[in-house]
Amino acid sequence: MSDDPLLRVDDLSVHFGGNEGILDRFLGDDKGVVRAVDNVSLDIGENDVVALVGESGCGKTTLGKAMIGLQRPTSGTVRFRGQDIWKSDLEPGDIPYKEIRKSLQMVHQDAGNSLDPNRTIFKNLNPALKKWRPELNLVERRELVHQMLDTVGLTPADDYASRYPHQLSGGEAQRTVIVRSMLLEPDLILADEAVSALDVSLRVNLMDLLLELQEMFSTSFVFISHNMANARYLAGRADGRIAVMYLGRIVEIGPADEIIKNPQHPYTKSLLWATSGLSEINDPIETPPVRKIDIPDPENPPSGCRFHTRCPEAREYCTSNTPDLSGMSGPSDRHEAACFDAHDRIDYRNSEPLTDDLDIDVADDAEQPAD
Amino acid sequence: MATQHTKQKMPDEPTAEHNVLEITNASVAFAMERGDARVLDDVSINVRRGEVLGVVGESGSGKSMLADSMLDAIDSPGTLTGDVVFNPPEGGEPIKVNDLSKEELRRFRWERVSMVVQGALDSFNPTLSIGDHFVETLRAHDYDIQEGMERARQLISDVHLEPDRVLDAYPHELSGGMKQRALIALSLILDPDVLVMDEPTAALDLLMQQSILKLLSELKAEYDLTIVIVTHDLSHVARISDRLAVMYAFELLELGPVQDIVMDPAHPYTRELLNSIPDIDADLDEMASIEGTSPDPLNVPKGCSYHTRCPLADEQCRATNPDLIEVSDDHGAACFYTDEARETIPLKKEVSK
Repeated sequence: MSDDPLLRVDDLSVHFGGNEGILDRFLGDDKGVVRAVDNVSLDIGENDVVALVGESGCGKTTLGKAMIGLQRPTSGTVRFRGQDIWKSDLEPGDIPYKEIRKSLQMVHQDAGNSLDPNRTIFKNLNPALKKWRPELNLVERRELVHQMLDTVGLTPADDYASRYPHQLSGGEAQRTVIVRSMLLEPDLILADEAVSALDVSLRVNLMDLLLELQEMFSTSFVFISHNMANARYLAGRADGRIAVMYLGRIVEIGPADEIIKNPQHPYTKSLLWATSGLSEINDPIETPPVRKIDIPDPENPPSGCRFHTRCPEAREYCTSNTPDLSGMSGPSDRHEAACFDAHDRIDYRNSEPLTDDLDIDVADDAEQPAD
Repeated sequence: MATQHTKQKMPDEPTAEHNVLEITNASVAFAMERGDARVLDDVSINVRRGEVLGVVGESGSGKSMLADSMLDAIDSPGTLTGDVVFNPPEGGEPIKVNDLSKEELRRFRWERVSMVVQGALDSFNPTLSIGDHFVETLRAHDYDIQEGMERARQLISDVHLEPDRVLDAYPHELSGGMKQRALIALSLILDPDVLVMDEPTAALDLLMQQSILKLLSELKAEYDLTIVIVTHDLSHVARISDRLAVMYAFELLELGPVQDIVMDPAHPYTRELLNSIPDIDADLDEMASIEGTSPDPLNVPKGCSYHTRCPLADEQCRATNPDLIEVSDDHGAACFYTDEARETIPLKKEVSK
């Protein structure tokens, strides 16, 4: 194998909707297009853990799905061990698509609903094994399933294997779908909000389980989460990275600790503001570190830096120039941010700060309506 | 059902004029095929005038039932027993909420105690504009529409929305966060004394959640409100709450000032719950889940409902359900072994310091 990473996402965009007729193409009218993912590049190594964090609608699930080949990108490529996963004319030595499909697995957001309610747990898990491990007979498959159920703490395994999905609690259903994805011994698992539906008291347990499995099977993980504390736990324990997304772009990426303790992008800072630690209970909640709390319309994202409409540091320069992700000078060369302020760009410094001429602002002295 | 006596009063319990709502021995039961499901079990709690009371519990802990009882809004066939008494702030006779007639209750709700229900984003009628909702509410309660709408505009700008735009908009034209804020404004249109909110920030983005909490603390000061917030996320409400009530298996396990509950809780459940919260500041190695799961409403363990998961449980816990007793000033816990709990279950560093 070459130096290619396990998965390389290169300048990936996924756009939805809009007018796609021939005429529109000539007229160049792309009104109504939602740029769910816009020019994202990201490498996932072997045994790597990345937590994708962002608010709803920022494109984190779409990016995740595009990464594992469940969503065809509008442009850009996703390479699995150096090979474009959407490549259609395979040459000798290429990895067949089926193989790639099997290597990239997903744990869905709603575990309970991703199991067939009419089949027992074993029958839910069996088909994947039957397809991909044809050398195993029924007894061996059953044994393997029981073994995996045991590993994730669903004991006694034979009891759980014969249950139906409705007889499982939320946490148990979640473990079952994790088993299902692990049975294929994939190289990468995308876990979409794997813990957010669980009770707080059970989350750490499930996250520990995921991390244990990650280590046990040397699988890479991409976790999607809207919760900074969960992302930090998962990425922090596995020495992984946190990637913060905003309106289709990664605005900051770096080691978990760096992102939490030394955030560079104003958007990351605002997410951290919104995540109260218990040590802060005596302090009143500060004013939000954004100029506007509502997210702009994704059909019509702001020009330049997409965060400039809400960013407290935004200047004129940000409205027309798009910052790229680039490395921060600091303790870690893996820490990158897409912000002119963080990189202290001269052009940015020399332009005028943006003032609040927005219809909804969150300043403490919200002006009275003109009646 | 454990034999319960009247709960031991905490010595410094403020008197009636301090309590806007007094809930005594409230229970809610649903008759089900498999037996009676008791989804609120003998809870007594007073809501003090002007406070923010956070009610926290996991799913299926009975916290929403407690919120619903405050307006006697238990869905049929559920039945509420016990007393819910409202003390009008202007003085006068206390109102026994669960004795009110249908019409009296209709007036009581929204004018006295207003509620923002869970799943608030679906609370608007999609065929009415936001403004119509305000008019409808004012009319239903015989308020002056013109005067009321002026108040509506004020409230809408208080929640950082633009009255002109929002009043004419239909619910689908607003984002989730805007809808939630408009709903908060709507809940305050009749100038209630108490605002009860069930998971007011669930399903919203982080930034919006925190912004709404910030907004609530502003509204509280401006309109002299008492706020009850029911949530599963302790760390989220801790910062704006004055007191926290911790529910587990349909009972109240611990109640006290937020500092006491977060920094040195007395109940083993609260201590383990705090340790299990994936906290942004805490040391990664110190977090741990609680083993086991919460009980089924049809099959709550005898004795202390937490004994099946509690590391300290012994014979006494299995046989007798402990009452909420005072452990320090204004701080009560329903546990026989509060001192032992504090000794044997250390808290995560970042929290306790």
